[in-house]
Amino acid sequence: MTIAEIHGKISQSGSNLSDCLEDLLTSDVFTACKYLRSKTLIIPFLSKAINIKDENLSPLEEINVKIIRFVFWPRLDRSEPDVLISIESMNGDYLIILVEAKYFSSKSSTALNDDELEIAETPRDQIAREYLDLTEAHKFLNIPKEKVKDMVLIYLTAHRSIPYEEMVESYKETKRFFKKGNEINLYWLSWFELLPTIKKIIDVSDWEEPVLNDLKKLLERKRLIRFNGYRLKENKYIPKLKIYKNVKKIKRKVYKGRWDFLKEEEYSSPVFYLGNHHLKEYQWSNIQKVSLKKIYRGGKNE
Amino acid sequence: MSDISEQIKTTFQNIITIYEETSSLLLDASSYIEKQGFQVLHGNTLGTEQSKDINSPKWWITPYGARYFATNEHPEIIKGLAVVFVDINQNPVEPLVIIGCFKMKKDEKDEVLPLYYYYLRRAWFDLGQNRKLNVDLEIEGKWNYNEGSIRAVLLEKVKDQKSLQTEIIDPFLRLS
Repeated sequence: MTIAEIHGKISQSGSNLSDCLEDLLTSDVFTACKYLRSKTLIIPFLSKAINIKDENLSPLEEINVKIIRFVFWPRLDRSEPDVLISIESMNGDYLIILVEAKYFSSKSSTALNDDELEIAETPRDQIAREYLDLTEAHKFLNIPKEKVKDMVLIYLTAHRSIPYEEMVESYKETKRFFKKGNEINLYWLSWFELLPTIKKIIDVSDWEEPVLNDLKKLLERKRLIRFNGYRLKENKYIPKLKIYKNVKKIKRKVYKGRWDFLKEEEYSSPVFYLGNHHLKEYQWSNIQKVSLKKIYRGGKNE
Repeated sequence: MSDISEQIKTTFQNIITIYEETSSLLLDASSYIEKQGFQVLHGNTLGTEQSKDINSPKWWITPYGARYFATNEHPEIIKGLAVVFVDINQNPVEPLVIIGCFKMKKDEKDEVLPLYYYYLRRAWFDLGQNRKLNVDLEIEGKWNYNEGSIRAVLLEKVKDQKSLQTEIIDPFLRLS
């Protein structure tokens, strides 16, 4: 189900592609979260969020979840954040989480500078505006105010480490307009945390597995993955007779080989060599094994 | 598809994969390094050299990707890391990750002289027979730096986040 399309986020003309991609990613990931059990993905993922003091949102994992509800692109008074999540615990308390997701873009409106901040009557920074809306989101969600135990705003981006300056300016502006004396729960989370989260899930139901596998493929395709080594495709080719002078008969067929690099101190073009198991298929005239190293050097001794 | 087409296609797919993984490696490394108070000196730009000269096809490829960092407190000390695929003559070598620390010269206005992307690769290969993998090596002053140190490891040793930390980040932060 493409929730982004239900909400009219995909332009027919393909205009505003950057925003569409952002909305599609948000839709794909949070739809999966919505359809899976909360303890499988959404709770472990969001609990990786950190604030500017480098404290994470791990207490989220201690909540005994009764019902979790997702509202995509809710129209609030000052903003339209990407996802509003209400988590009802077994004891009847609620935690409201607002997620502002970014992919290629940054905040739609930037923070006020110090001078502007002194005289401004309303916030300009997107995150600060959304935070003020978050404080009143219980009305939108029809939850009694006294039942709301906590509220958290998560700024979800494709940065690999916390965009500290962006977070600090949003925090400053939020603090200026948020006068209730409560702590400001402003957190940041990276899309890059999603794949490690999925890989760490141990209790996966059979019906959840295909969803998680597709999500992994999506993250790999979008390169929202951390470095995990080099994996190259094997090359295929038909060897030329002139390379193998000792060969009398040769059956021409496609063999697998691979590119490799010469030793660091060698100054030569890269060469191509066959995997050992393929050598057995040749009929060597002198019936002797030719070492891989010989072929590696074009048949010459080292 | 003919054999040659298949080979060229696979080769280019692999080149793209190599560059994608190198980008991930450099960006992940940068995020760890930035957490320690360093700032990358060239934003989202890859530090490299390239030529579009029709007569220099060896230079069409990206021979290495480098990132250089400094702190606000010591802008004259520049540290860098580079993934290197070819030597200074553009001949392929066993791929390396080179890390280095350069103590930069200053001009008469006490401003740090510029560092160029090629410093790490050139400094490593200029060591000639003195090159040793997995060892911190002192380098003499040259170009715009007074002195420095350099270290190289085989890229194949960096296989995941854990080895990135132990093989690259930890030695990078220690290097002085």
